[in-house]
Amino acid sequence: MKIEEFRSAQRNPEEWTPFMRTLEYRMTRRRRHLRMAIAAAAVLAFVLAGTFWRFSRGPESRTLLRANVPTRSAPAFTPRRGSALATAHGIVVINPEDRT
Amino acid sequence: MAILAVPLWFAAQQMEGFTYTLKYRDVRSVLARVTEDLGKHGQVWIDGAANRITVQDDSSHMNQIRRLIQSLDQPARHFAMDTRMDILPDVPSKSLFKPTPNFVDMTQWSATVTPRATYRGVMDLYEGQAASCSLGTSYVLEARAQGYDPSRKRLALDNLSLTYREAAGKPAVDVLNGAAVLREGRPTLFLVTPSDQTPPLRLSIKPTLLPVVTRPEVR
Repeated sequence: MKIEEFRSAQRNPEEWTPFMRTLEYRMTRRRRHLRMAIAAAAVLAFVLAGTFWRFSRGPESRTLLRANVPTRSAPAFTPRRGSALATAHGIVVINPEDRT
Repeated sequence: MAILAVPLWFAAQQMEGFTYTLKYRDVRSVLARVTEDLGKHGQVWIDGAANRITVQDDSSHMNQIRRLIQSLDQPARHFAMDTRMDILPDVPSKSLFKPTPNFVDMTQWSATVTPRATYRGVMDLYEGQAASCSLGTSYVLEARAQGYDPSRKRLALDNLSLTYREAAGKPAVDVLNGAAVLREGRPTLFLVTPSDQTPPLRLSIKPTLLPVVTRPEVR
């Protein structure tokens, strides 16, 4: 809004009311835009902070399960003492102090 | 040079690769199993720090390996170990368990005799954890589960031990001690020869994979 428009409205009483209405509308719009800009900046700052927090923590220290998956060659039974024999019916486990 | 380069370039085009970051398992625990399914020219790399596995193989093996890794990378599975132990009568003749080719006689003999006593138990076992159950008053079965291969339905136990204690306060005797690989859903039979302290035993263990219950119903 230019100063000439203000002076023109000052001189002419019929133009004063529309001039003030337009001025009020423009000021309201400017305030609304300012509020929206502040809100958008806050959201952007929040998103940036969240992203930084998420990716700046490094790898997660979750405990992983360490349980070896058996391979095809893994035997059915491996005794720590004595010996074992796989038969068609089952696994015969021979005790080292077998009394037979 | 060009004669060699062109076929090599075409061969390289046939190879595919992918990288997978495991969420639940240590990548080293699945490496040996994944290597088994690789093709002739397949290669695998692991990054232990990032828990990541990279596979390069021809396209025909790719989907199979990807599915295998996804099936292995699951939270600890839960098993019910259905256990039954028969105390067999004393051996009728000394020659029955001699370490000769006729040794398999024991399996035939044990199938025909009536057990003196039978004990049953169920163990709750999670992958990577241990569990135990009492069989009667004198025997205790302990197991520690390792990984499970869903494609072959085999569960590895890095410790399977059966101990016998004659009475409270007396030392426990190892009747059975070792590592085992059991078939899921099927009983595995162990026939233990008698010793000075224990009679012949027939131990049957059947692991059953239990379904995952994420939201148990409470009434």
